Amino acid sequence: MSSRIKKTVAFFMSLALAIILLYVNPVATNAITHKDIENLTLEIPDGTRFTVKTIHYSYFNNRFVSLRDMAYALGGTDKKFAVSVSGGEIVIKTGSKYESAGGENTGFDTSEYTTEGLKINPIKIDGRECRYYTFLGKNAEGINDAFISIADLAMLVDVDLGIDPETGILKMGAGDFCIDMDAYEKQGFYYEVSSALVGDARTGTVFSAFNEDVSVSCASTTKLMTYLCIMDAVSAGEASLEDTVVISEKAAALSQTSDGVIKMTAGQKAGLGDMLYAILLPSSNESALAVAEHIDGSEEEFVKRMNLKVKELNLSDSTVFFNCHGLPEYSDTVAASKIQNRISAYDMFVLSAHILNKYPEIKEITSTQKYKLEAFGLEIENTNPLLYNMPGIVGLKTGTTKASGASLVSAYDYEDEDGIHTIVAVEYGAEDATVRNTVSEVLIRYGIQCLEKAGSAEANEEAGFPGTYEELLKRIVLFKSRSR
Amino acid sequence: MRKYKRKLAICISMIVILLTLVGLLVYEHFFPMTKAPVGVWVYSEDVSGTASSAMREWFGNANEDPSSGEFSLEEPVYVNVILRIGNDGTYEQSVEKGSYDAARDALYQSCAAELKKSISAHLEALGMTGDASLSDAEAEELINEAVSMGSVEYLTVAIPDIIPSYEEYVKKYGDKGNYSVGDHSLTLGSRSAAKLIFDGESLLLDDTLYKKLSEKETGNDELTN
Repeated sequence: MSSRIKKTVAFFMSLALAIILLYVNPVATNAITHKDIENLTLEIPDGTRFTVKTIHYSYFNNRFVSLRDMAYALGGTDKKFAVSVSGGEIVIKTGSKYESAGGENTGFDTSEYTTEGLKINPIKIDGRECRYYTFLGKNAEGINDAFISIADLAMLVDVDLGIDPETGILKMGAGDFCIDMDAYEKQGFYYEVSSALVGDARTGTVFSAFNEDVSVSCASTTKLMTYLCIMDAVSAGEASLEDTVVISEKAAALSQTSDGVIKMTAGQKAGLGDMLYAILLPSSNESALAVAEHIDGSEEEFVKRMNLKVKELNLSDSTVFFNCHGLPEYSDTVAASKIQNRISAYDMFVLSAHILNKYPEIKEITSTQKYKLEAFGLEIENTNPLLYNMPGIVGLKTGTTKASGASLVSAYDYEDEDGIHTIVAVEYGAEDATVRNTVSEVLIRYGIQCLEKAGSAEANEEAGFPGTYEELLKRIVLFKSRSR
Repeated sequence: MRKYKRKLAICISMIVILLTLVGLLVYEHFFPMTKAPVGVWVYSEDVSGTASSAMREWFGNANEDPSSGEFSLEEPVYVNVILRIGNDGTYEQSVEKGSYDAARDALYQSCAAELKKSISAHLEALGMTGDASLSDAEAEELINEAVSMGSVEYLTVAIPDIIPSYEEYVKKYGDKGNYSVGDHSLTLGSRSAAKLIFDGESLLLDDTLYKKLSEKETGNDELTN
C-alpha cells in the first residue's frame, strides 16, 4: 500500500515539475526575451504608414523587423512579397501578394517579447535556399513570425529602405536597394569591422575602403595565399593536380585537435586536386598542411615560399605568414605571445585579384556549395555564407579567429559589354557572423552599383591615375595576370 | 766736354725710358690691357644627375646611395646656356630652348626604357613572362593597357619635374646688361667672376667652362629669355 502511495506521489510530483518547467520555459531552451522592442513606423512612397514590430537585438538600433509586418506593409507596392513561417522554415516569394494571417500592422502589446535565439534558419526565396540570421517567434495572435535585420531584408527583396535621422521613421524609397556609401560611412558603417575594401579585380579599381593598409590577423583567408603557392608550383611543374598526397603524422595529429576539420589518419591518401576543395570549402587546416608538406617537404619551406610570393607581388610590410593555414600559434619565447598570419585589406585585394586573373579556375572550387571527398568518405560544405545568399557570388574564403574576428573575402562576377568584372570584397574583424555577412553583402552590392553606374572605361578614370611606381606596378600585375 | 754730353744723353735716355715705363704701368693700372672675351660662348649643363635623382625617388629608393647605380642614366644629357659678349660692353645670357626641350625628351625616353626594363624584371620574377623576358614592345603595350597612354606620356604626368622647368632655368641663368673686364676678371652685371681665363676656344669663369660657339651654331631665334 505504501509503495503504491509513493508511486502515485512521485507521478504527480513529476507532472507538477513538468508543468512548472513548461510554464517557465514555454519555448526552446535557447529562447531570448527581448526588452528593447519598438513599434517602428514604416512609410511607403505614397505616404501611407504602417506599424512594424521591431526588436533591438543586443544593442539599441540593431534592428530586426517582423517579416509579416513588412510583407503586409509592402503589399500595395511593386516590392510586395509573400511570406510564410512554418516549422522553423521561412518561405518568401517576391512579387506575390501577402495573405494576412492576423496580427500584422499592430504593435507589441507587451513590454517584452520572447523569441528563439538568433541563428540561421532556413530561408527559401523564390525557390532558392539562402542563409540569413533570423529570430523565430509568434505574434499576439499566436501566428509564427520571423524577424530579420532591416539591411538583410532590403537586400533580400531588393527594396530601398532607410531610417530618417530626424523622425526615426523607416522610409521606403521608390527604387531598388541602393547604397549611399558616403552616408553609410558618416553613419559609422565601417566601425563594426577592423578593415574593409571593395574593388574590381580586373582593373584594380577600389570603390570603397576602410583601414585598407592596416595589418590585421587574416586567419583562414591565409589559405588563398596557400592556394596561389600550390598552383604556382603546379604551373612550374613542381607538382601536379593528379598527385597523390600522403597525410603525414603532423597533419593527422592536427586533424584530431579542436582545430581539425576533417579527421585524418597518417598514411591516408588523397588527390591534390581534391585537397584544394578541402582547403577552400570547409577550410581544412590539416589539408593545407598536408599539401604544403607534399609541395616543399615541410611546412617551414612552404611558408618561405609564401613570404617570397609576398615580395614578388610587391605586397606591403603589412603582410607576413607564419604558417600555411592561418591558425594562431605561440612564439617560442619565455613571454610567449600569440602570433598569427597578417595582411592588410588592400594586400588581400591585390592577392585575390592576382589569383582570379591568373587562376580563374579557383571560382569553380570556391563557388561549389557541397563537394564529395571520396578519399575521406564525406561530403564537405562551403563555409561562405554569401554563396547561399547572393546568386553570382563565386568565392572566396572565410576566416575566423578571436584576433581576426569573423572575416570574409568574397567575389562576385559582374558581366557587362566589356566582359566579366569580378568584384572582390574584403572584410576583417567583424564582431560576429551576422555583421560579417551583412557588411560583406553590402560591399559586394556597392561594387555592383558602382559598375552599373559607370562603364569600365569611366571606372578606370575614376580609379585614379596610378601616380607612383608602386601603383603602376600593381595595376600592371593585375592586367598581366589575366593571361597565363 | 764730349764725355759730359755722352753721359747727359745716357741719363736723359734712361729717364725717358723710365718715365715711359712708369707711364705705361699707370696706364695699364687704369686702362688694363686684358681683352674682353668677345663672342658667343656655350655652357652645357649635364642634367642627367638631376633626372636620375628624380627617377630614383619615384622608384622609391631615394634613401639608397645615389652612386649605387641602381638607377642612373648612362649617357649625359645637356641643357645649353648661351653667353653672348659684345665688343660694345654689353652681354646677354640665355637658355637655349631647343636644347632644353631635346634634353627633356631624351630624359623621358631614357626613363621610359628603364621603367619598361624594371616592369619586365618584376613580371619575370613573378613567373608571368614564361621563359623569355618581356620585350620592349610588350612592356609598352602593358603600360598602355594599364593607364591608357604610352610610357613616355605616362612619365611626363607621373614625374612632371624630372628636371627643373624651362622657366626655372631661365630664372637661374637668364641675364643681360653691361660688363667690365678687370685684371683677369670679368663682371657681368652684378655677377663678378674673380677668375677669367680664355683663349680662342674656351672661357673659364670661376668654375664654369664655356666653349666658343659661332653665331651659325646657335641660331639667333632660339635665344629667348
